[in-house]
Amino acid sequence: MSNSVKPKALFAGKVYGQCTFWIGVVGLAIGLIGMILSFAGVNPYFDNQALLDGLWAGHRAPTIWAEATGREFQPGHWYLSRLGFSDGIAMLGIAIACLAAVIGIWVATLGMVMKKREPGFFVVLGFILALLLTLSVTGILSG
Amino acid sequence: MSLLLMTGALAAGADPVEVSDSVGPSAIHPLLFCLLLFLGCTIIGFFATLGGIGGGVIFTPLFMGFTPIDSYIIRTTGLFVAMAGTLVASRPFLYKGIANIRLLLFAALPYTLFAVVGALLAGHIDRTMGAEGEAFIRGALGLVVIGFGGLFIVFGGRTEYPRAGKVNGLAKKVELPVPYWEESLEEVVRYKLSRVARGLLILALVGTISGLFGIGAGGAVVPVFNLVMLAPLKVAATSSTVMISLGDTAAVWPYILGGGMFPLVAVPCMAGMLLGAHVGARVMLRIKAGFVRWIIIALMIAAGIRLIVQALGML
Repeated sequence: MSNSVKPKALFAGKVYGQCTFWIGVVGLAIGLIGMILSFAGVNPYFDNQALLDGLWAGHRAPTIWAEATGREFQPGHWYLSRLGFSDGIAMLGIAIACLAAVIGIWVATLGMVMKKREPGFFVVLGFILALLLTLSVTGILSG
Repeated sequence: MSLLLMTGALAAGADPVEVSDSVGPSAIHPLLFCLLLFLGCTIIGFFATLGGIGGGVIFTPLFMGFTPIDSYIIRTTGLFVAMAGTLVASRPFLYKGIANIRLLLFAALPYTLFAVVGALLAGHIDRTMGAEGEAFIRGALGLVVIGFGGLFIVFGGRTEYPRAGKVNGLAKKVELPVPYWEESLEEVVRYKLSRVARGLLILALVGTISGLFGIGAGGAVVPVFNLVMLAPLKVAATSSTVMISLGDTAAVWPYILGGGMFPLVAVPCMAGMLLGAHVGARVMLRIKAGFVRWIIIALMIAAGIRLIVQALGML
């Protein structure tokens, strides 16, 4: 290859970049909308003043949950069953942003499989990484 | 300066070392708290970008050192803001082919795996070790942050296009280096990689630190790629950004599922950090920002000393 001919960027990288950018932006936008609704008083799940009081007092997360929601924290994807609350929507947005890289690596790996241009070694690496991230999201790796 | 005033005001509200038994009335409204967080994180994002590092490595030590908020919540938010920034920043690097997707897939495996181990360890310490665990986290983070500050000083000697003496056999066999188009030279840059196994071992350690302390750790990943594995600086910096998006995603979920993420804290921090980084990237093209690096180093060392003092006070 000549030194003056621009090499093409690898397909897997381009796909990963597009996925993470757009899913991340959508997640962050939903998070902002949820917070605006929360401050507008549209069915908030947390008592924001109690939450702030707990943060200010240096309380641990489970204590703050109990003070700000009146319920004990249940580990896991709590927001999925509380999407009718503005804070549930805000947390859904955060979760979508946190899923961007997981979806991105799955799509990039499937892209590598379909295009058949990348050495199999990187397909296997992509698959292991995608699996690792999925296990983390589902809580199987989260203890 | 606004950030310091804000964090000073927060620190005046309660001593993070002493956790009070009852909830007292806060001095500020939640909306004002959000706006202050947004402003503080905009400033952090701005200066971090001018200094050429990710925001997480400044956010976590500063907020742990100078606010009364519980460290588990700060570390959750720190990982989230570090990850959110890299999600948005990765696209142009990958589209232009500067970030090496093969190198980052290869290096992301130990980094991600050990970032999860670090996050699980953080959860275990938080649940079982009480004040001693908190003292350990603060003291160790203080040392790590001072170490990172030292790394930034040493990293002044980074190499734009390092030459690999002995080429790594595995890297060559799997075609790890991918040539890229360098705009400033108007030519294709081809490079070789060296000491890959050593680099992966160090990345596993950096991943553990990132997951345990809730920092992005890009400041440590770039020297590993550039000075240990001898990738060109641009490839090292851009591949590090993309790799952190993977590693921090895996590490942030144990924190989220453990209840450390509150939208009231995370959303304004994330929005401020992205805005600050965006403005910083534009300003960086027009000014000489060398002095900013020294401000960041001073801030990190100050936060590190403060964390160590807090840790000693808790023992």
